[in-house]
Formats: sequence, structure tokens, C-alpha cells
Amino acid sequence: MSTPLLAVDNLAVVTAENLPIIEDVTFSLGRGEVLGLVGESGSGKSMSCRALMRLLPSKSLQIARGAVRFEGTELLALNEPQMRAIRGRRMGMIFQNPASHLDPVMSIGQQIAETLRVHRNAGRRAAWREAIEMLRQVGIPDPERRARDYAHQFSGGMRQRAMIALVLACGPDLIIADEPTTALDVTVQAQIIRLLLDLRDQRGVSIILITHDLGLVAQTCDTVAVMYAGRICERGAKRDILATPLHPYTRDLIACQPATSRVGSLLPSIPGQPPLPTAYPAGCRFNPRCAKATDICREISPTLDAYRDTQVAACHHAEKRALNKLPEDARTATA
Amino acid sequence: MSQVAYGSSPRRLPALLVVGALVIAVAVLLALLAPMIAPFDPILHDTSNTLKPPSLAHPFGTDNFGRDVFSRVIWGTRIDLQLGLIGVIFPFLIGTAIGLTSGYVGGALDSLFMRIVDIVLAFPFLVLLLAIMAILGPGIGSFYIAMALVGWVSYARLLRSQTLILKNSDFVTAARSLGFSHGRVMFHHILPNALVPSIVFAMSDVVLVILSGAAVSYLGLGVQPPTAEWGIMVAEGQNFITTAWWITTFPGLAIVALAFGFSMLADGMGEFLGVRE
Repeated sequence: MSTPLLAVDNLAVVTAENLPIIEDVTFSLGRGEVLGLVGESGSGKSMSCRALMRLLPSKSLQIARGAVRFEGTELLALNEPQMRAIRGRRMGMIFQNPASHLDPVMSIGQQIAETLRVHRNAGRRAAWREAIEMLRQVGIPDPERRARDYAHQFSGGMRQRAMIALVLACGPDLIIADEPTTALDVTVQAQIIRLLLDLRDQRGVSIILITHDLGLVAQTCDTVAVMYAGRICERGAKRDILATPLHPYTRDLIACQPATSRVGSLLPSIPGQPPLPTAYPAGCRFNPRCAKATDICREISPTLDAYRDTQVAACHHAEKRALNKLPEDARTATA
Repeated sequence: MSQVAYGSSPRRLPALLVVGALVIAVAVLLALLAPMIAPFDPILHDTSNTLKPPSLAHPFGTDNFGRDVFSRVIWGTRIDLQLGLIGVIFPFLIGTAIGLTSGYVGGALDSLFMRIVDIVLAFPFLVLLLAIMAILGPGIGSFYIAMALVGWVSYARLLRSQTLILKNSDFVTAARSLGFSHGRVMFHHILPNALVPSIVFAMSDVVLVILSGAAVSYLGLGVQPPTAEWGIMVAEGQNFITTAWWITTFPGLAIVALAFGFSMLADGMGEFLGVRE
């Protein structure tokens, strides 16, 4: 494979008190690929993506080290105007709650036209025509009329479509979709995912899909990275990760999917809570919740090592599992 | 299938808004048509006709120089409306610009601006206004300057607090993720969303400014005699309050009516736009 579209290497974000929020985040993404970024709330999925766009939510957070290469350009070395030319134009972000991420006092058409005018210097009329065309492409009926409507006049699914049109307007190479379907009902979810995958197929857009829905990952992604407590604990091709997870956390996550559990039994869950950045345990950060933890897990932090062609995991006991070839029965893990 | 209308159904206008707007519309009409409506010249002395009580010829009576109080009240509408509107526009613009910048940029700049606001607010409003006007000299121009120097603080605080909320809102994050500059985010996305409370406040502030204008004119620092201005009329009539009550009463009522109109408009607008003060 040639150079990937996006290569994130050892990215770390720290607070003003030097507490690590995310650490050693490494992944790469080829053109037209879909990467699933999976993990519990607060595991650093969104933070990693905000960091690679250089849009950290607070001034007290900063990128401590790492590299983000986008088409060979080191994003962390760019100045703010150069970075602005990349945001929105080359990479865009779709959010979980489109209702609050659209400007309430600007019509949908105006918002799309604004990005076109900023990034492409399009004229007022040309931008408006193109905005209508974008709305048509994302499947909004009667786009000439709806372009004049405001976000509150759209339904949830239509808002997410409008958000996608907004991000897509300048023809980005990378779309970061931060739980794009969480706030939508199931039938609309399927439509939005379909739309994103069509865009991938037609335009070759790469997508980072942040989600905690492994079912969605199974349907859509090419590769998966699992995050826990600010670190990537396992990463690899989707098929390998879902079929033969090497990290106990991944295995437990899969076991918690309603689809994999028996009808009539209680849904399995992982006991305990993910740790806060102020209280990360020594050793492996998952050890207090891990059924397989041993002494070494409580003392030494495991490194991300390759075990199969595509699969890396940060677990002291991964090698054993990788050699066994057969995955341990996921259901017994949490019993 | 019946056609489903998108969007919100038209809201009914609050009664307060309608009444307030009517009062102000009447005032604006009086101001514009003063030369046609007023039966007498507002500054022409008529020494044969002084201190006459209200009659058919002079519905509001005449003052100690024989001037028709009714005509003077109508002409006064011009000056007082102008006083209120110009006296609000400059503080509004200055305060909005400072509040937006202060809230968005934050840090040392924000602290600096907010300490200045605290200093201005530490003085009683009228005392500061009079002090500045005393330095600048009497006149309507110095009233506007003094108003701008003192009045901006409320607008700055109001817009700053709105900006602080909005700058961390989701749609601002989304605008930043689309590669918009700070300036564009501030003026195109935050400002339009932050303005409503300031506009409502400006309406009620007009009342305060008109009263201040009348007050400084009463004290001889604002509009100068013989111009027909309600504050001056009250001031001039006070010597005759026991013998000729009409000289002070009618301009006083005019001030009350206009102030009432603006405050009803402000409340009605707040209700209509969904702002709570």
C-alpha cells in the first residue's frame, strides 16, 4: 500500500497539570477506508479526533507529543491559517447531535454556502446553487425550498443529512463521524450509514467512525481501533478483531453486545467503571476490571505489539491467545 | 393526505408589544409632523398671554413667557426621541463590540475589560454622567459622548456573558471544524445568536436614557433653553408649580408616556423573542 491518507503516530494530549488524557494513539487510514474507533464514553475517542484536527475543546488541553501526517503533511507543524485551510476543506467532522451543531439563526442553505464561499471563494449565487445541489445529493427532498429553512424546521435524520452536506460541500478526503447515528432512531440510522458508505464508494472519502456500537462496526468498517482509558488497546482488520480479539477488553465488549448473548438471560456487562485520568491504575489500565489480570498486569504497562498480520494489542497475555488461534469463549470471560 | 406545514406556526404578538409599539408610533408621528400639528411656535414669546391655564386655544395652558405648552410638548418629542435613540445606539455598539471581543478572546484582555466595567459601575450612574458632562461642557453633543462613555458597560457585560455561553456551544465547535476563522465565528455565528437579550435591554435602556437626558437638561447641562425639551420645561416650570401646575405637569406626563411605551415594547419583545431578564 502507498502512503496512507492519514497516519497518527503516538499522539498524546495532556491537561495543564500534565495529566494524560490520551496517550500513544497510533493508527493509520488509507483512501476510501473506514476506521471504527470504539470504546466506552470517556475513553478518548472523540478527544483523539479533536486533537488530530487541532481543535481541542479547552485551552488548558494541549498536544504533548506525537505526529499527525495527512497526505504526507505534518499537521501539528502547520500554523493556524494553514490548518484552517485543511479543516472543512480536506477533512470535516460530523457530530452526534446535529440539532445543536447547526447554527440556529442561519438557514441550512446559507450555512453550506458559507463554507463554499470561505474555502472556494465561490460567489454568492454560485455558492447558493451548489448548496442546493449538495442538499439534493444527500437525499433531502425539495432542496430549493428546504435550503431556506432553519435547523429547527428539520427532522433529526434530515438535520444529520444537512450536517453531512455541510461537511461534504468542499469535497473533503476525510470525514470524522463522531457517533453520527446515536441520536437517531433505528431506521434513520441505517439510512445515514448507507449515505456515508455511498459517499465512500462514489467519492473515495475515508471515514473515521467513532462509535460504541460494535454491530455498526461489523457492518461498515474495514479496520477497528479499540480505545480504553486514553490508550488504544487493540487495533487491526475488522474481521480479525471481531473474530479473534486478543485484548480482554475487546473480548468483553463483544460479549456485551445484545446480539451475541442468549435470549432470556441478563445482558452481560463489564464490572466496574473506566478510570478517570486523575486515577489511572499502575500497570495495564484495564487490570482492575480484567478477569484475566495477573501480577504483571498490575505492575507493568503493556506495549502495543503485533501478533498477527494486521492485529496489534496491548496485553501481556495476548501472545498466548494468539498462539492458541482459537478465541476463548467470550461468554465465559465475564461470567 | 393533508399538506403538512413545516416550521413553527405564527406566534401571536404579545399585547404589551402591540401597545408599546403603538405608543412609540404615535410619538414618532408627533415628532415627524410637529410643524404641522403644533398650533403655535414653541419658542415665540407672547408677553400678553403668560401663565394662562389650559383652555381651548391652549389645551395645556401657557408658560411664564406666554409660550404654548401644548406646542412645546409636541416639539419636545423630537428632541427627546432623538436623545433616547442616539443615546442608546452608541453605548450599544461600543458595549457589544467590547463584550464580544472580551468574552471570545478571554484571558488577560477579558480581565482588563471587566475591571474597567467594574470601575465604571462603581460610580453612581448619574454622578459619572454629570461629571463627564461638566468636563465636556453643556450641550446635547456632550450628553451623547458622556452616555457612550458610561452606558456601554451594561451592553458589554450582557454580550460577554452570552458569548461565554455560545463560544463553547456545539455549533461554534462545528463552525471551527469547518475551518472558519475566529473573526468569522465571532461575527457570523456568535454575534447573531447573542444579540437578542441586548436588543431587548436596549429598548428598556431608551427609557433610562430619556430620563437621564431630561435630568441633565433639568440641571442645565444638556439641551439648552429656549429649545423645547421636556426636562427643561419641567425645570423652568418648577418656580410656578403652585400657581401654574400645567407648565410642569404636561411635559412630565409626556416623559412618563414615552418611557412607558418603550418599557412595554421591551417587555413585549422579550416575551416574543423568549428572553427572560
